[in-house]
Amino acid sequence: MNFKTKPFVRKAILGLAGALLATTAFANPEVGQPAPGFNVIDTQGATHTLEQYQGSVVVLEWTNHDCPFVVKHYATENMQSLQREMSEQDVVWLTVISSAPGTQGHVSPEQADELTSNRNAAPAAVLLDEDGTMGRAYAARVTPHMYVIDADGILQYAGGIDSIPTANHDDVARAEPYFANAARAVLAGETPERQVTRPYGCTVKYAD
Amino acid sequence: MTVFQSTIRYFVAIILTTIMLTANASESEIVEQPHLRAQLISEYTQVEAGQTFDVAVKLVPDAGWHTYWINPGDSGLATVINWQLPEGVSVGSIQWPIAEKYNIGHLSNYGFEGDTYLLSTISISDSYAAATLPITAEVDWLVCEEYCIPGSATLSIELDVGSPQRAASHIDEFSTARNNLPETADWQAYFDIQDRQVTIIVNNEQAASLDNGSLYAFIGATELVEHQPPGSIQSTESELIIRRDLNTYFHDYPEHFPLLLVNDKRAVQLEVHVAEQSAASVNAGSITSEPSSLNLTTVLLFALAGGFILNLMPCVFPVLSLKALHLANHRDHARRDALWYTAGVIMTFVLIAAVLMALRATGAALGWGFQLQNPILIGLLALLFVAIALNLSGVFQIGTSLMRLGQGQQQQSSFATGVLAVVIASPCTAPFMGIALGFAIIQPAPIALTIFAALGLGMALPFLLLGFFPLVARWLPKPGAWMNTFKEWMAIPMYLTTVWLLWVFGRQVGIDSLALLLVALILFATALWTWGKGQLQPSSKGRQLALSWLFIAVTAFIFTIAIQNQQVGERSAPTSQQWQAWTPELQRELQETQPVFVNMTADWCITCLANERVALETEATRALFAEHEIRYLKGDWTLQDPRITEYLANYQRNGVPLYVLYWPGQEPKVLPQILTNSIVREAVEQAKQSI
Repeated sequence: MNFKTKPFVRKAILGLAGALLATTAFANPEVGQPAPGFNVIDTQGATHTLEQYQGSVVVLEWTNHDCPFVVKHYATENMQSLQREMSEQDVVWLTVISSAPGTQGHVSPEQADELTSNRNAAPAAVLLDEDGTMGRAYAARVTPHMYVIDADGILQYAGGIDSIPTANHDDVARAEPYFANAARAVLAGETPERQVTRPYGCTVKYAD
Repeated sequence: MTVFQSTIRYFVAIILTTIMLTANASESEIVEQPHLRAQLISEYTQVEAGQTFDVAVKLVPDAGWHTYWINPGDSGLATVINWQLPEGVSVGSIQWPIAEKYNIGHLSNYGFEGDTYLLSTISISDSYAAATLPITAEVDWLVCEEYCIPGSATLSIELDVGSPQRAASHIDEFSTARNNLPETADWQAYFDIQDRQVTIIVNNEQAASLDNGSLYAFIGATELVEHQPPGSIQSTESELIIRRDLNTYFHDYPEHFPLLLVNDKRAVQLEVHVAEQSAASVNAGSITSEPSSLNLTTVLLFALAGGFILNLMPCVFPVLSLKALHLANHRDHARRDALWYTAGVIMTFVLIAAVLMALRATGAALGWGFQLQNPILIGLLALLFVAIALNLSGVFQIGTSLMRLGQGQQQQSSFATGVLAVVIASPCTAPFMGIALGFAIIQPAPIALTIFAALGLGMALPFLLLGFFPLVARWLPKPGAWMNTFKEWMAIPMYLTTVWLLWVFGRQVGIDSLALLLVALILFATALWTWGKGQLQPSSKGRQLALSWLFIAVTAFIFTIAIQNQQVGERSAPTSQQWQAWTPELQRELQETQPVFVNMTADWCITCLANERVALETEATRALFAEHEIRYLKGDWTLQDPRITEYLANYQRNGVPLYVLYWPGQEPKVLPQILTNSIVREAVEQAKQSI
């Protein structure tokens, strides 16, 4: 009858592998902390910075119009209706394209505007982040990847648009709208119940 | 066209049709979608009721394109199969092949390139009667190269039902599919999260031997670890230690998740469980871990047998005989009576257990852990078992008055008789009830209740048998003196159990406390002996009772010292170890004159163990400590030592690990919760330089 059926019996140590591998963690923005600054031009050539929106709630939406996960939310009008709901409450909705030239989702300013009007979208501006500086600052991984920044510039939400990570259009109605819930909470002056969720979608096509 | 040609064409047509028909039985048509072809194949063309067999969804992506594993990584989507099966047919989950890792910039995905077989096992019930077995798989996938395309297909096959026949055309495919599967292992593996680091320890020598430099650990939980940074893998001779950064989007602790270990020689998949204090303490316990590893059925059988034995006790057996007579005289109600009686007995036992559970809950609310690693509980159990054994030996009696109470109630309904039987029998059953109570107190409530129900059923078993098979009455032995001898023999296992409890106690708190507990036990036995004398000699009862209370008081006093003393002898470190057991006194004494490194740890803390393996009890750190004459003190919080709790609170911590370096003339320096050899070295060198 052995009393010590412990999961880990202390034993003498033999030779161990050398030093730990250096883990080069990608700097990730943290919720509850000031959101990373940015300085990017939009399709009209106008420059946008985070500082200029001090006092307003800012939503960032990473997009790639050919990504099936993005298509899911535009074809079902989910994204457009969220954009309208938010702009009516004076939210600054910035759609960001970080696709490098020659990759999927990269568009010229004219094409971007055309996409906005064709899809009846309503962002405050579409930012062209060809070199991926802004995307990397936010560690945007996928499209759509959603962020909510409160009026004080604090990152309040980062993650997926909703709870069902599929490309199936029917799932939009079934999903728990994580991003919308978070944005509504921030507008109500509350801290979102879930501040980080799984971002799902296509990998952002960054320049190497 | 000649007759010959047309005949040839005719035969070719027949052959083709035949091939297609046989082929159709075990494979679906191939569905072509952009960059991927999908097909459902079955290992058998003909299957029979009761059979289990494998089917596979075969995905063939274009070169360079891939589909995804159960955890797709930073983006992507695991393939999903929805099955449509006739009633009586079920299917298991996907047996995922060995995954590969794809890096895209700073992001990573896990999936499969080339011909990919997603195996699933189908089970047909014994009662399946239809002539054919239609199987439909609705498959949804995401296929990606640089960019991704979602796809789906509905794949159907229809197998014949008859004697099982393998599909000759798919033998190679199924053998390829199985070659692509990882081995499955039931190695113990736990994880925890500290300081945004996920630490996994696989406690197995084979797992440790996988670490040959080419090992990669695929984590089967979606938002647990960062996928791109490789983290670290290290091993001791019997453990594999995996450390990874916590995922930015981590939100919920998974209870468990699959871990796929792949090196250039082997691929093994196992389940990793969350390391909880409670989960770990079940394993760290003793009595608990024995029966739970025995499995519940065995425990219940023991309870049943134990309940049955209760009938042989001197004060139960006469009741049994009476009842047997009663049943024999009332054959018409015999069965109903027996059932009601059984219900009454079981109800009473369950009630006792419920009261016990309620008491335990109250105890827990007061912060009293009813776990066997608590030496106080072990000590109390030793006292209890000595009392039980002495009672069985006849040194003293329990509640003989209860016997008289129950008499004359036999006319009550059988249910009430059952209830009463338990009460009437209690003077004799109490010792055995004590064992059951002692055992149940450390079990989860549902199990404890079930055990008590089984005990009751065991006790009622003879009556049930009598009710349904009146002839059994003939085999009943006659009551007599043998019953008393039997009872006295039963004391022997109780004494032995006490020895075992003492051994456990000694392991936990050391030889000094054990000696004190033994003294307490002897005094307790003396108290019971004098009490027993009082029972026999009513004239001197008052004096004997006073004497026994005196001994009880002294017992309580010594017992208190024994358990107070526990930390002194606690787990004295073997001399070969480089560390000493932490005490506040030792630390204060040492830190005046020389550097001291304090490590607060616990056996159930995965991060703590990993740190010790890879950073503290290593050659490098041993040499470092020796060079700077640093004394290494280790505090073990496994038993929730209150002095360590207080120490942790001083550093605003309510848990382990905690590492503090004391350098004479400097403020204490707290080290990170995740250690490496170099972190320890830097901390030491920094302290040394700032003198």
